[in-house]
Amino acid sequence: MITHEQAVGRLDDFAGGELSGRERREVHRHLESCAECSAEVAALRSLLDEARFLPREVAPERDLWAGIAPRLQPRAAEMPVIALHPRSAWQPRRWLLAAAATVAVAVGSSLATLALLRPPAEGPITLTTIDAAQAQPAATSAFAAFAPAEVEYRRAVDELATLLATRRDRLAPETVATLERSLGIIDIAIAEARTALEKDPNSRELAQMLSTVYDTKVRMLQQAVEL
Amino acid sequence: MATMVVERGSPGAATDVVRRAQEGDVAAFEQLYRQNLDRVYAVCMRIAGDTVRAEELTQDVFVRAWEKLGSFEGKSAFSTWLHRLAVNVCLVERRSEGIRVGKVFTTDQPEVYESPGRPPDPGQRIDLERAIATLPPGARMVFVLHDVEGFKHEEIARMHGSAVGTCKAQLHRARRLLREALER
Repeated sequence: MITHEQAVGRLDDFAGGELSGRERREVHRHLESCAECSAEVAALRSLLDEARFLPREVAPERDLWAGIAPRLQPRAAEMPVIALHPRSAWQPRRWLLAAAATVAVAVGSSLATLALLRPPAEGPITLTTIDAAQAQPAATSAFAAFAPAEVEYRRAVDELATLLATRRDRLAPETVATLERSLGIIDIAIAEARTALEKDPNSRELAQMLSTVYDTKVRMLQQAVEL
Repeated sequence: MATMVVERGSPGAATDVVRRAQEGDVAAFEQLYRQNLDRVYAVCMRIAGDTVRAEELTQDVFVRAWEKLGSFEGKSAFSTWLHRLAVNVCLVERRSEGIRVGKVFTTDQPEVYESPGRPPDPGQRIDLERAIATLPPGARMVFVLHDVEGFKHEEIARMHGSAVGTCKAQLHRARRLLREALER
């Protein structure tokens, strides 16, 4: 049997249905013999019922779009999508750009000339530069074609890492340790893929692998920032 | 668990609008804004306790949603994702405001730090909505998230970066103040 003081301390959780079975039974037994606590629970439940029935939607007094639209930075539509080969279900570049937007990476005119590496139907890799939505084809190695993307990857990684550093103390030490271990492994994979691509600069597969590993790093950092 | 909002229109149409917005279509995003405005404004208004600040927060939420749209993977309804984002934006704002004015949310005795909310108009019946607006900010935030929006203490504590005990203390205080206000 719990004391009156113990019961009083649990009434909030009891009314909200947040006690375990044993605790709930203990409070319930106390309520059977305590009019004061019973009245308290009834009042709490009445308040909770009212709160639950508040309208889910409330219309503002004015339309707010005019204060939103000018603040929307141009995104994917104006930005090229790097695709080493078509990916129907997954476009890593889209969320990379989102990550970059998340950390407020400045999107300047340089993005308008980012390389777009397209898979050829046959023959050598084709590099297309995007300039004001007009593509100008040019031929170069996969390694060279990947260079502008790598700059963006590194910028996103740097920005996310900086942001993460400001939020590090909110993460559990075990989470930080796991994150650092995983990032270390990814860095090794990046270094190895990059070295291999330098030795075989025309390999689309290696460029794609390097892109994928960078994607993984950016995704991991982005998720860590959002924890 | 937070309350979900049913998407208006067919699921397929909603998905298409989100996809177009993700691709940079501002008109599609405006459609999402119009579909979700009232729900986002409701949570901002209740947490802020002030209509002017609620309007600013609502605008911040949609700008943030535009920026983060690429990370929306469709694992939940867009409205659910947006609602969660709105709560986060409000909590971040509360945290930064707490830092600015030196009020922190790290005590089990929140009344030590909080000034009383705005007093209700004398002689006028006060309903729950208005009573919520008069709560001290920390207590109001926890009450809205827990008792109105349906979040668990653990979720609120994690989102806000505070202890579960602190959340419970704030909730107890909020409920007590609300009952006092409603009994007047």
